[in-house]
Amino acid sequence: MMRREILIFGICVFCYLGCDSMQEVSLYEVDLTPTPEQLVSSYPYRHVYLDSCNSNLFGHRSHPCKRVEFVKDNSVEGEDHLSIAWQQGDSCRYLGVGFPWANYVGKNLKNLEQIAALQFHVRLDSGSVSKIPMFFSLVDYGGRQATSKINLLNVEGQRLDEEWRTVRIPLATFRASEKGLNLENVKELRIEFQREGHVHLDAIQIVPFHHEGKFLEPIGEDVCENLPLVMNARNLWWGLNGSETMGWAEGEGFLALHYDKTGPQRDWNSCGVALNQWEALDMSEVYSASALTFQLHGQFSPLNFSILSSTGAPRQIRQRLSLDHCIQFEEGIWSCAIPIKQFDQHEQFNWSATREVRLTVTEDIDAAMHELQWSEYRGNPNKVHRWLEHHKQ
Amino acid sequence: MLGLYLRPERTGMNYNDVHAVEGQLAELKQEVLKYKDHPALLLWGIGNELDLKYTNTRVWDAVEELAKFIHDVDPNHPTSTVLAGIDPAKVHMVKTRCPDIDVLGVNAYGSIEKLPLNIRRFGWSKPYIVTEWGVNGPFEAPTTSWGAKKEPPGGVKASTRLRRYDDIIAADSSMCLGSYCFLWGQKQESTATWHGLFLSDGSATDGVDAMHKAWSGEWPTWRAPSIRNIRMNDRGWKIDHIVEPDSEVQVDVDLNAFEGEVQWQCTLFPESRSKKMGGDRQKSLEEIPTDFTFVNPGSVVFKTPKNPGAYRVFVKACRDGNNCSSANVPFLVRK
Repeated sequence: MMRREILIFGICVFCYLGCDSMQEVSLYEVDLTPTPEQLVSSYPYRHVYLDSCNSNLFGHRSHPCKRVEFVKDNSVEGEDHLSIAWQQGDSCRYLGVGFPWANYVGKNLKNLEQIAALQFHVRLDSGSVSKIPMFFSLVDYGGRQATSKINLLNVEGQRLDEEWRTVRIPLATFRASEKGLNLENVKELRIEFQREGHVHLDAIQIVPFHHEGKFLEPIGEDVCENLPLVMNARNLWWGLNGSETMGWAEGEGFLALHYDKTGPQRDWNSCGVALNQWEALDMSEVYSASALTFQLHGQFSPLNFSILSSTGAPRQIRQRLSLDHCIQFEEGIWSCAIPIKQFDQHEQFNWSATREVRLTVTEDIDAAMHELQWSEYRGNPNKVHRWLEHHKQ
Repeated sequence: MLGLYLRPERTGMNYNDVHAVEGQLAELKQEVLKYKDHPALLLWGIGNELDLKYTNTRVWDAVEELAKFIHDVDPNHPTSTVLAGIDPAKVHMVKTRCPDIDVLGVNAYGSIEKLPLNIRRFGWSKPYIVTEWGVNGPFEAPTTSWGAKKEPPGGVKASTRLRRYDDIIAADSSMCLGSYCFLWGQKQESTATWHGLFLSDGSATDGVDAMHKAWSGEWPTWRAPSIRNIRMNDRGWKIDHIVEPDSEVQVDVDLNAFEGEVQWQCTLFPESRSKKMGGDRQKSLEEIPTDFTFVNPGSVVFKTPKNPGAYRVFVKACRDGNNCSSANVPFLVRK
């Protein structure tokens, strides 16, 4: 009887501990997802070149521009390593060797692209350099290829000399998708040699590698969504030469123009202003309903205006100021507007990369340009006077 | 000038790619350390024509990093970067983004005519060097209706070089430190003779004589012949020449022979189709074997190719085999 009570007590204690003190462990919650290292290390085709007996290689036949030898001494792995000496010349524009590794099997490197690198050991036959003119290409079965090269940051000791150095080229730096390379069906690795050199290569393989691959945000992609753009920042103007022919009147905020086409400064007849700190500015959304507007105090002169972009053709579009663009509301004070649609070839111009407004003086002038700005212009481009009268302040 | 090769954007370099940029700078910093005490070093050239067809202005940050590094490790040599011509935007970028650049290098061909003025107008106030200059480049040349560039004869080019050196480069001694005339050698750029002061066989041209005069003030004792004009079927090199296949044409040249006997040579080539730019390497063309008959000194007759297409005939006038002048005419064979 006593023994039975002890047994029941024991079972109760076990259940109590089992329920409250012991952790639940499920047999089926083990994370079996391989780590990147496991994924790469278990990749069956990770060995690209070991030695001449166990690896596929083409392009190793020597000729006057290139000598490929299998050297047994001082190898990193396997029976031998590659010694490649080359000198590019007119008779041999392309020099290279290829590794259709794993006996020409189509290799799928897609899953390894962000977690692996092509690793090899390299040493120079003599001397030291900061770069070797060698270019590494992965080639798919469609004949497309993507190329990368040695980055000194991924060279052991950041030196290339007579010591064996481990080099890694991240697969991501081949930029396969950009080049159209099918990483799911890679045929071979090719190494192209340019200019001249002599290197020893060994133990080419695919290894785990974390490539940070940091890219900065693009610049020069600003979009102009609202007008006006006021062009009165003196430091963004070029071509100002004080009071001689054209200059910015400090504190007054206007551009002074004193030009004599027969004077000693007659060649100094252009100036310009950056729209976006000399970076491209996308004016695509606003240009068609806009105009350059300003006031001219003093003498009227047929100034030439240009708008420039940083890319595309035409790079520069032009319009010449005429009395059709201006109304003299007061004695010696002209209000002017040049609709952008009046500029020649404005439809071909690359408005996404607009950069500069330029002004060229070809006739004598003694005047001041006030309030130069790129303004909204919702009117008939051929009836500027009507628009100016309507917008008279 | 020791050039530190920064990869231009147009060759695929992405200056937003931090890894690629830092790797490139690491390589070049080693070059700087390797050569900074070399006795032949005069100044550093950081990048050549990085601005050509570029859009990403971050390239100037890379130039500045290297220039600053050079100033830190090498106080004995100034820094420069070389632009493919100048405009206000490029000058602004170098001025504001690269304060460690001491000397601006400018490659200028047609634009050399206004270079001293533009250097000042665009706001550059430090010294500059004309790092490449010569005759107007193929990219500035007038073209035929089929797109072939019209190259001036050797004598015209030699005169242009001499005028540009005397009137523009030497005349701007207050800011211009000097120049590198392009090209002291030979290369294929649209034609095999456009920029080179030497021909592909190594012979010196009348352009070398012009540079002799520019640098020393004296003409050499023995001058190369100099071709002033070239005509096809009595029509000048500036107009389009369209001829029948397998037809006879005559090419005449006007020559300043100076002294001694002149040897003549003619060659025919297909027109270059290269679209490369900025002095990037172009392939040499294969000569088309052709029978040329000199009816007079400076007048040659030949039959045009049977196959329609664009061609170019070259005439070379030499004295003693190694002082030459050349000229060419592009022509179109059309039925």
